[in-house]
Amino acid sequence: MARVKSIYRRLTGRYRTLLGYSQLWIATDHLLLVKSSRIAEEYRRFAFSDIQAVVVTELPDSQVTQFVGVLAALLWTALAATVTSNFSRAFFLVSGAWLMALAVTNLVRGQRCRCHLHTAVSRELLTPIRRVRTAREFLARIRPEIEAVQGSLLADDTIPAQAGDVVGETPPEVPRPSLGYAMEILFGLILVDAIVIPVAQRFPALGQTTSSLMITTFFTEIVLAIFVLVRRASHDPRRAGFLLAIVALVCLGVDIFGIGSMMVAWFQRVMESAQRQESTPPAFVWNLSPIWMYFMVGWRIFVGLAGLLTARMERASDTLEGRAAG
Amino acid sequence: MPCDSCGRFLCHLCDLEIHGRHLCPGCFEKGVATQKIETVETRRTMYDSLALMYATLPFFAFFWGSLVGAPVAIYTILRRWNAPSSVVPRTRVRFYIAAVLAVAELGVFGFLIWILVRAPSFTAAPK
Repeated sequence: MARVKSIYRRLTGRYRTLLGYSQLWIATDHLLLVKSSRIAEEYRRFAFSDIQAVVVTELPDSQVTQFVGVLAALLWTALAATVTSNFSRAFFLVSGAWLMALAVTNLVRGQRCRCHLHTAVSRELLTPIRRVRTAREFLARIRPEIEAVQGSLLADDTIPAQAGDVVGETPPEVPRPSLGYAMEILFGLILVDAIVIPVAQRFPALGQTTSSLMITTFFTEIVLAIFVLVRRASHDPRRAGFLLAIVALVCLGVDIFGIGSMMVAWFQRVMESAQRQESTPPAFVWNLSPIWMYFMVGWRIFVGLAGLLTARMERASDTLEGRAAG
Repeated sequence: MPCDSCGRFLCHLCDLEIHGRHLCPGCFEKGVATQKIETVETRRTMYDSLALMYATLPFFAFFWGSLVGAPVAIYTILRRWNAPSSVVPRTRVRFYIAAVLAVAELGVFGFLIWILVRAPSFTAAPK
């Protein structure tokens, strides 16, 4: 038996919970809100002619919480450095990567919101719409459909003339915070380290100087990356550079393993030297395995170049927006 | 105006227009009861998800529970194969997966029972 083609087209993704999901669908003359408990579905229909308002409320910025989530995931992954068995290490690495993916996805999806649909007799929370970006797409999709039934507000002659009085008014200018150059400094330092690491590896005669320099810049990178992430919560609207700073922080977390193994080897040499009762302990020498070196240099070149490029482009576009707004 | 379902002539009071179709109150009521008018339905049971649940949950929760769960899953599939599914697009893949799992579970149990029945003859050493 041929199946009847459905009149519904998907409008949003599924908002999943432990016990089910909800999703919005669109038909020719109404919206359908599906609430599923896995074994049964409940339907609510909203005719375009009955919709009085769609109210989208932005929720408080949760970037600090999101940043704490990323940091927690990093710390969880770093626990892999403290265990000895391969199984435990793999467990922490895999679960840490999963947590990190969750935290980054949460960040990328953007600002959270709440969306209510008003009719003459009801006020329904549209649970599938939980991000501002989704809300914009949703409004762009249903607005023409509603206007086709109810008419356009702008074209409607019944709007009182005094309503036009406020159209020409512009809101007071909000001072735009300075972007600062922390992001550029971070990516620049990462690029510099991409040069210093192979130099330190190639010329071990430089010994203590390059090793100390590397350790210092490594921790500076971490501090700067954290600073960029924290600062963005209130000041910096640049998104791509922010994501690259997260990538840098993750890669720095992985670098800890390489540097940690060098430190452990150095501590062992110091212990052996003490047992032999030598007067001077052996110097810390920067000596990475080729795989670690390729990794540390590789990600630094990629993130450094991409970061500098995107930071510059986003700064330019932000300046243009500022001028346009001004 | 005749009813689009039974052909009875309708007055303006009795005429119910449902998505371009004109129905009499009797046909409308019957359509709602038999889930033929999906634009007025507010709830539907997803028998395919139910069958999949019968086929999987007892197996993972309590292995021998599949002895009951698998036949119930197969019964649900056969009984509800043509029952109306979701009003939004949805395939029957859950029914197929549930059927395969239920048959496989019954196959495993059949094999175990066969082993148990045949076990004495396997273990008896020839003299």
